Amino acid sequence: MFLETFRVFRALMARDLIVIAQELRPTFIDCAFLVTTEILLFSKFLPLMGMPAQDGPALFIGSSYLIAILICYTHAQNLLFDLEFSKFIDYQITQPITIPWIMVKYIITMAIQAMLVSIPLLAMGSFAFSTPLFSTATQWPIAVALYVASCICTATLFLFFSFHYPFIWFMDNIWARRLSPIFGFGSLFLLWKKVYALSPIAGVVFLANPFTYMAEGLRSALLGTNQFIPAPICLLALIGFIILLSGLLLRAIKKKLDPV
Amino acid sequence: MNNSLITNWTYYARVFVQLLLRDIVVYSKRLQTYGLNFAVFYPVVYAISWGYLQINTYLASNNSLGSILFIGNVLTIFTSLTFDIAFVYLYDKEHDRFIDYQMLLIKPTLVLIERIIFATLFTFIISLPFFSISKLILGNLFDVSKTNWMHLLLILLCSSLVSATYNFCAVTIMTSTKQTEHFWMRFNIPLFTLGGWWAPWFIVNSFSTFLGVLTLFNPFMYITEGLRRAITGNPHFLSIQWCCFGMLTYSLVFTVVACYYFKKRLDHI
Repeated sequence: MFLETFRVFRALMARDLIVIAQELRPTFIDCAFLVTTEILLFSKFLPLMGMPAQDGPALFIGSSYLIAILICYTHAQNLLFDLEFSKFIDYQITQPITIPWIMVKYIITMAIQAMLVSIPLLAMGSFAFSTPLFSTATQWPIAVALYVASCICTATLFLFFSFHYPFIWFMDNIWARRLSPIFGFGSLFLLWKKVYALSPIAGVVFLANPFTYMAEGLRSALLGTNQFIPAPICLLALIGFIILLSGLLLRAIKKKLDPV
Repeated sequence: MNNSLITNWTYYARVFVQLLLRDIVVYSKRLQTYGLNFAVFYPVVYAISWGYLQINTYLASNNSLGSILFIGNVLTIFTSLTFDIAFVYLYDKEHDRFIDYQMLLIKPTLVLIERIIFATLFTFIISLPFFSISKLILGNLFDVSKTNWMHLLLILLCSSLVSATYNFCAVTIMTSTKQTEHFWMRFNIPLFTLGGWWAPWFIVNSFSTFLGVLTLFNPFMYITEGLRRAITGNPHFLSIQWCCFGMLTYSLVFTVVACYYFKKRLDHI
């Protein structure tokens, strides 16, 4: 039984990887535009507006998660159209494989694409700053673990959104009511310790956002300073978020695909 | 001859008004959703995050920038809302093709212009409370003592128009809904960042004159500069006349291009 499940999983995964490979070049070009403008913003424009230049690399690291977010958003939107119109999902659940395995396949696909596109762009961005993003202080094992966990967490979150919310609600409200608060009240564009020093209430609110741990953890692991939340704490928090979101996702799937 | 021409135009005007009324009825059912999103959620999030937290955490050395940074966020409203309205055309073209029925009733170009006018007016109305709500949240941090309200209304109207024409131009050029993701990543997000979402034009120009001149070709720059000038009255920003001229010129160009591609894609006589 397990062998059969694994074979079907492998076949579905292989199909998704072919699709990713076909879309890799246009997606990479898309994201290169985004990264180029972000580099200009954090290395040149904001320092001219009074931002301390040493904050540039840290903010760039946080904003690099935008790539993963936008890739996972596109997948979530495609899945939503599938759930509403094409129903390819129905074909997949008739295969001799359980629904959690199909979800694992979706999450891995989204995470792989996000990593394949964002890691080279993040590396390219590192040359634009006077303070390098990678140094001898970089803790590579934990940085890699954090990045993988972050991409898995982002993929699980967006998968949850696409199963939990009705089609029209998602299309009308997801940016205004979910994603903009995630961007605004997370540490993607802000440094948590500075926010906490300014407003402890805002600091506590930020801790409820998984993107705070993603950004702060990667900053801490790559830049190796104590200005950020320590990377091991962020990794633990992200694992907690992944478990929580997986539970919510399974409940949402049951509600959407198996109403009996 | 003249009588038949007048009859024709009277008929067109009546159908045009009917189409406009139809759009008003359809979108009035979603007014609550749009109102909550664009007049409550976005202003609250942007005011707290961009208007308060970002200014005080990493731009603390330059407090006068408070209002400047935050004002650019309004681009989201113009672009998202007009894109939502324009996207309906693209989706309809791929699926139901309700547009074919509308084109039988009236000159096809007028169908497109009606949609642009509706999108402009709807976006203008929805964008009106943005700065009032932000002022309520930010209090003294958002200085409106030098705001010229008439200029602000004028710029909001021109911004709605240029956003509507820009998005309708884009969706008429696109051949499928699949292309919208590339459109956002390759055009909108870079144009936002280089269009004053964060940094005003004088900052871009002080970094590189070449980039400064290049960003003057970005229609979003006129939106953010116009709003910043109207709200702060600071002469560092482009003048209201210059911004209005830029936005109206772009609107005209986008409308002409949209009409050309509208005809080409739908192949009407």
